[in-house]
Amino acid sequence: MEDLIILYNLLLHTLLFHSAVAVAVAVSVASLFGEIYPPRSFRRLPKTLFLTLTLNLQWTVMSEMTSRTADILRVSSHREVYEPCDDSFALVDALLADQTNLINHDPKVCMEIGCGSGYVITSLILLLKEKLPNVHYIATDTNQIAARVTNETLQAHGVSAEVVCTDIASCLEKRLAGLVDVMVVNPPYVPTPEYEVGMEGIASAWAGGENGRSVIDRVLPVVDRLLSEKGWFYLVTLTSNYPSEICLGMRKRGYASRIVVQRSTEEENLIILKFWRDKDEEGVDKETSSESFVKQFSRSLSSFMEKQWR
Amino acid sequence: MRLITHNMLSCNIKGVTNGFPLKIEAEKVVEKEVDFNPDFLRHMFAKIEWKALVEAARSMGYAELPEDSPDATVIESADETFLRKLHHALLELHLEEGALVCPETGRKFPVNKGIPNMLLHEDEVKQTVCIDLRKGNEPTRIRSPKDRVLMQDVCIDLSLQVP
Repeated sequence: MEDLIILYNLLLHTLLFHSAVAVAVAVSVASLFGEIYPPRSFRRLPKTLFLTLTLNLQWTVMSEMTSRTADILRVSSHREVYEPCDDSFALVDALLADQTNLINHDPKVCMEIGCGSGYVITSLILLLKEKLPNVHYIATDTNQIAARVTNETLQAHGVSAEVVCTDIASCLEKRLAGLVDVMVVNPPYVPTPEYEVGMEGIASAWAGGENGRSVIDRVLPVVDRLLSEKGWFYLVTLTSNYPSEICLGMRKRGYASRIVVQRSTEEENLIILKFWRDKDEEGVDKETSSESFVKQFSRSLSSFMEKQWR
Repeated sequence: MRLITHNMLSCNIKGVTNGFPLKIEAEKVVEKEVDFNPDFLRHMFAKIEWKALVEAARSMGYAELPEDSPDATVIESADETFLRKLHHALLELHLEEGALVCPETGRKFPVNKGIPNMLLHEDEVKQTVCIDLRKGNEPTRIRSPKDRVLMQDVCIDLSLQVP
């Protein structure tokens, strides 16, 4: 009986390693079985010990795997700072999906504009630091409290980045021009009335003005100036932001683009875009060849399902 | 705030032509140890403004850096004494509390808990203009986001900025 329990737990943990809830359930189930079938003799004792050890090992392995991104429990928070939400997770998922490409890309300077709680920049650092320990990270935010919270989150994860409180990147543009290799932006994209844009406090984290494009339109030229020749740019948008228009505008500046992640939640249809300079032919080849069959299949399946829903 | 960041910051107030480098008024400097990485230093060395770094390090209480920028041979050599000094100045000195002063206007940007606050007041921000096609390509000032929305159809390139 105990063997079956051990096997069941191992299987459960292996299949559901992303779900902390599933592990908690598995642990409680295992302990329940442990109570119902207590070790009656010394013969049973090693098996129960083995059971506990296995569970501990699985728990450690699981935490090791999930430390690829920032731990949501260790992300600092404040009432005036935007907490990680679906858009933050989608962006980090996009970076995760592109992890191998990013490592092969060998960036020297990575930047995030609008770091908020620090979840995304911390995840980026954790993604890259093992294979690329020599990267310089910069994070900016207009909200002073957000800058402070980002610092706290970085410290809680034992990593560091340069945090500057500034509007988009106004004080860094001159000196950093053409130096940034990876740019990550989760802008205020919610369509709101124009007067709400740039207001003090947490509202500035989502208020995007007409079509949610006020801040995005200001960020794009800055990113164009800061990105290096081989620079990559990840942007979070909604379908309401007319991402195809954004892509067209960037095309005129010489950027190719593709959708890395598309996610529909109850409230939002998120599209994570990736831009790179088109003159770099090598970059284009890297983009297309690294798409695995599974990824392409799952993407076509999800777009098929979406069409079915409509 | 480390000196590697200070070397990248400039004052962006409208009308200022020479806002780099910012002078440092150090109130609290902390030394935090960082792993020595010669490859990273060699890569970043090309982008650093040397005089600005030496001056800044001095304001933070570190005077070990040579006045003149060393040439490539010193950087590429196996001798790490210079790289260690560069490493210490660039990455291990943190300005926790103090201010950064614009060399042209004297405006102070405070540094609190290691984060420089470079936010400009409204009157310091550059004006955004667009080229108004109705008025024969005349630059028209955009005063508010509402202006921008109204001008969208008659102007081209809504991201021009003038001092």
